[in-house]
Amino acid sequence: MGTLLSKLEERLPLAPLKEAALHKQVPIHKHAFWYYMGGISLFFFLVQMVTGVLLLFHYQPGAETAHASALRIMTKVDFGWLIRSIHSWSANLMVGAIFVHMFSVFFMKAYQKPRDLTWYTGLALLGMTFLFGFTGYLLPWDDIAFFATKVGVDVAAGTPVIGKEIANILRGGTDITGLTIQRFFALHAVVLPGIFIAILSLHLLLVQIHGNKIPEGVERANAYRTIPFFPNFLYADLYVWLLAFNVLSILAAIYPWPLGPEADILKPAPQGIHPEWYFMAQFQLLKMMPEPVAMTLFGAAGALWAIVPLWNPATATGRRGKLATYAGIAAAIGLIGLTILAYGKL
Amino acid sequence: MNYPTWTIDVIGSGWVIGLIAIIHVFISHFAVGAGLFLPVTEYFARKHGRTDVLDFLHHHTRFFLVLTAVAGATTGVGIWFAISLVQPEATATLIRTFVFAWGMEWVVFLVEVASLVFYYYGWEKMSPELHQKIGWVYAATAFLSLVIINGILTFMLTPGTWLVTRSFWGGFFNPTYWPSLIMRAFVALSLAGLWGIYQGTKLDRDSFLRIWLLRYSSRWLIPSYMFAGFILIWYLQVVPDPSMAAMTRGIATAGVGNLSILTRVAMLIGLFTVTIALLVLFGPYLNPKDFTRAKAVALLIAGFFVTGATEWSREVIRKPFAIRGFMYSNGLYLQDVGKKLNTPFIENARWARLNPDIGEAMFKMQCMSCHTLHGYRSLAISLAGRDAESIYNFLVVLQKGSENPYRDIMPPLLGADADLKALAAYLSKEIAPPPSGGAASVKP
Ligand code: HEC
Ligand code: HEM
Repeated sequence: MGTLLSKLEERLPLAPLKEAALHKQVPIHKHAFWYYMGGISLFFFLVQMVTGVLLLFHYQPGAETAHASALRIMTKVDFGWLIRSIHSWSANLMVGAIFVHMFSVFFMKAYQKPRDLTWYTGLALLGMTFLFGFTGYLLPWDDIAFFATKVGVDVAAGTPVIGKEIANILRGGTDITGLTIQRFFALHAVVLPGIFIAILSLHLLLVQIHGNKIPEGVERANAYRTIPFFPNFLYADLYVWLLAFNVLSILAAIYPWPLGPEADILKPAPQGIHPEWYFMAQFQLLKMMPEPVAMTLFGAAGALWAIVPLWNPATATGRRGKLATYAGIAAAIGLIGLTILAYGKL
Repeated sequence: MNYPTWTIDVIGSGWVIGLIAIIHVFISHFAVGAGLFLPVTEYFARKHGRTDVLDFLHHHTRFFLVLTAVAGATTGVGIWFAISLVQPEATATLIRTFVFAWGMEWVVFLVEVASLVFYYYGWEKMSPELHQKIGWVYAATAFLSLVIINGILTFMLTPGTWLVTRSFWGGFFNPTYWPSLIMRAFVALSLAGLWGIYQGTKLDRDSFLRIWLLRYSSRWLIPSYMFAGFILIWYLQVVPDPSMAAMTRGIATAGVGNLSILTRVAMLIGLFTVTIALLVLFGPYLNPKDFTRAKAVALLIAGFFVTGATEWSREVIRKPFAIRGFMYSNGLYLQDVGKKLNTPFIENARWARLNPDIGEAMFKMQCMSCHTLHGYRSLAISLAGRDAESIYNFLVVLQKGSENPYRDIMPPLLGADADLKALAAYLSKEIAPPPSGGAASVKP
C-alpha cells in the first residue's frame, strides 16, 4: 500500500496540495456563521447532480414523452417521486442559499481585490443557477410549467434589440413546442452542468487561494481567532451539511413535489399564473411599469450590483464603504418587498 | 357517544392532545434520562475527584427541578385535561381500568420530586454519601414513573388479554409493554446525552470541562444506537397486523407512488436517527472546541423532531381505535356496532338531541375526532368535487361495518338512512367552494 502511494506520488505529486490543506486556517468570529453559506450552496448543488443523474435514467424529453415519463417517475419507478421531490426542493433551497451567500459576501465586502475575481465567478454561477431553474421547470411539461415558461420567455423577448432573437432560439421557433423541451433539456442536462462545474472549480480554487475574508470591523478590533480548516472546519461543515440534508428531506418527504396534468397548448392560461419565487420581484416590476422601462431599471441595478468591486474598491480610508452597505440593504429590501407585493397581488 | 363534543378548527382536536403530548414526552423522557445522568455522573466525579464536574452538576440540578416539577407536571396534567375533553369515553375507560396505576404514579411522582428537591438543596448541606443515595432514589423513581405510564400508553395500542379477562395486569403488561419500555429507556438516555451536550456548549471554549463534558455526553447516545435496531424489530413483531399493514401499505408496493404519510414519516424517523448519530460524531465528539450553542440547539431540534414523529406514528397506527379492539376513536364501542349500525342516530347519541341539525351532530360525533372541515385531514379536500348524492354513496360504504374497505382507518358509520342523508347534505354544504365573485377570485 505504502509503495503504491509513493509510486502514485512520483507521477501525481499531491504532497504540496495536502500540505496546503493542512495549513489552511479559517477565521472564527461573530459573523463567521455566514462562511457556511457557500458550503451549503455547494451541498445543494451536489444533491442536484446526484438526483439529476437518477432522473436522467428515466426522463424522456419530447412533446409526447416528457409528461408521460415524468408521470412514470412519479408512480411506477421505485422512489422516483422521492428523487424528483428532492431535486425540485433542493433546486429551490440552492437558489435561496446562493442568495444568502451572495448578500453575506456583499456585506463582508469580500468582493474587494484580490477577491474581485471570486465575486465575478460567483455572479456567473448565480446567473447559471437561474438558468438551471428556468430550463428545468419546463421539463415535466405539465400545465403550470408550460404557462410559466411562456410568461418567462415572453419577458425575455421584451429585452430591447436582441430579445426576439433570444426568445426564438430558446423556443426553437415562435411557439413553445416539443423542440423547446428538447433545447431546454440540452441546456439543463448538458450545457449548463459542464460550464457550471468549470466555473465552480475556479470559484473554489480562488477561495482556497485567498482564504476567507475577515470583515473590516472584526479585523481592526482583532476580534477573531483561527481554526485549522482540516479537520476542524471540515467537521463543522459536515455538521451543517447534515442539517441542510435533514431540512431537505423533511420538505421532500412531507410535501412531495406535485405534477400537474399534461400541458395543453390550446387551453387558455389559467388564472394567476406566475414564475418561480426567485423571478417574482422582476415579474412585479414588469407589472408596475412599461416593459422597456422595467427591463432597463432592473438591468441597470443588476449591472451596478455586479460591478461593486469597481465602485467600492478596498481603500485605506474605507471610502464609499458605507454607501455599499446601504446599497446592499436597499437591494435586499427592494427584492423582498417586490416579492411580497407580487404574491399579495396574485 | 354519551358526551358532548369539543370543536377545534384547523388543527383538529387530535392535535391539541398531540402538541401537548409531544412536548410532554420530550420533557418526561428528558427527566428520566437526567434522573440517571445526574447520579451516575456524580458517582464518577466523586470517584475521580473531579470537583469541576461536581460544580457543574450542582449548578444544573436546578434546571431539572424546574423541568420535572413544573414543565413535566403541567404538561402531564394537560394531557389528561385534553384527552378528557377530546375523547371522554376512552378516558373514562382508562380511569376505570387503571385507577390503581394512577395511585402508584402519584406516590412515585411525589417521591421523585421530593428526592430531586433534596438532591438540589443537599449539594452543600449533605454528606457526599447521603447525597449520592438520594440521587439514586431520584433515578429509580424517575424510571419507575416511566414503568407505570408505559403500561397505560401501550395498553391503548395492544390491550392484550385484558380484552377477554378485563384484568388489570393483563392490560398493563400487554404485548408491546416490554419493547416499548426498553425503547423509551434508551431514548431517555440519548436525550440526557443531548442535554449534557447543550449545557456543555455554554462553558468557556477552551475549558477542559467543556471538552470532557461534550465527549462524555456524546457517549450517552451509544446504547441507543447499539440496541435500538433489535428492539424496533421486536416491537414491530408484536404490533397488531392491521397497524403493520397501515405502516407498510406503501412499502409493500415497492416504494411506488407517494407512499402514505405514515410510511414517509417512518422513513424520516429512520433517516434522522442516522443523521443524529453523525451529527453527534462530527459535532461535539470529534470537534468539541468549535461546537457552538446554536449547533447544539439544532441538534436538540432534530431530537425533538424524532420524538414527535415517533409519537405521532404511534397514534396513527392505533387508528381507527382509541383502544384497539375495544373502542373506536369517536367513542363507539366495538361490541355495539352490530346492534346499533342501522338504528336512528338520535337513539345512540344523547347529546345529539340538543342539536337541531342532525347532519352536523353526525359529523361532530362520528368524524370530527379525526377530521376537520378545512384544516388538518380536511374533508373539504377529501370530498372535493362531490355533491350530496355522491357523498351519500360514500357514507353507505362507510356504514358497511366489517366489509367496508376503510375498516382499518375509519370506524363504521352509525345511523339510519335519513341520518346518512342529513350528514351528506351537511357535508356538501360545508365543503362547497365559496360562490364565484367572492373573495377567492379578486382580479389583480
Ligand atoms: C378514526 C379516525 C377517523 C374517523 C372517525 C373518520 N375518518 Fe375518515 N379518514 C381517516 C383516515 C386516517 C383517513 C386517511 C387519510 C389520509 O390518508 O390522509 C380518512 C380518509 C377519509 C376520506 C378520504 C377517503 C379516500 O378514499 O381518499 C374521506 C372522504 C373520509 N375519511 C370521510 C370521513 C367521514 C365522512 C367520517 C365521519 C363519518 C370519517 N371520515 C371518520 C380517519 C377517520
Ligand atoms: C452554486 C453557486 C455557488 C457555490 C457552490 C459557491 C461556493 C462557495 C464556497 C464553498 C465558498 C467558500 C466558503 C464561504 O466563504 O462561504 C465561496 C466563497 C465565495 N463566494 Fe461563492 N458560491 C456560489 C455562488 C456565489 C455567488 C452567486 C457569489 C456572488 C456573486 C459568490 C461569491 C463568493 C465570494 C466573493 C467568496 C469569498 C468569500 C470569502 O472570502 O469570505 N459565490 N463560494
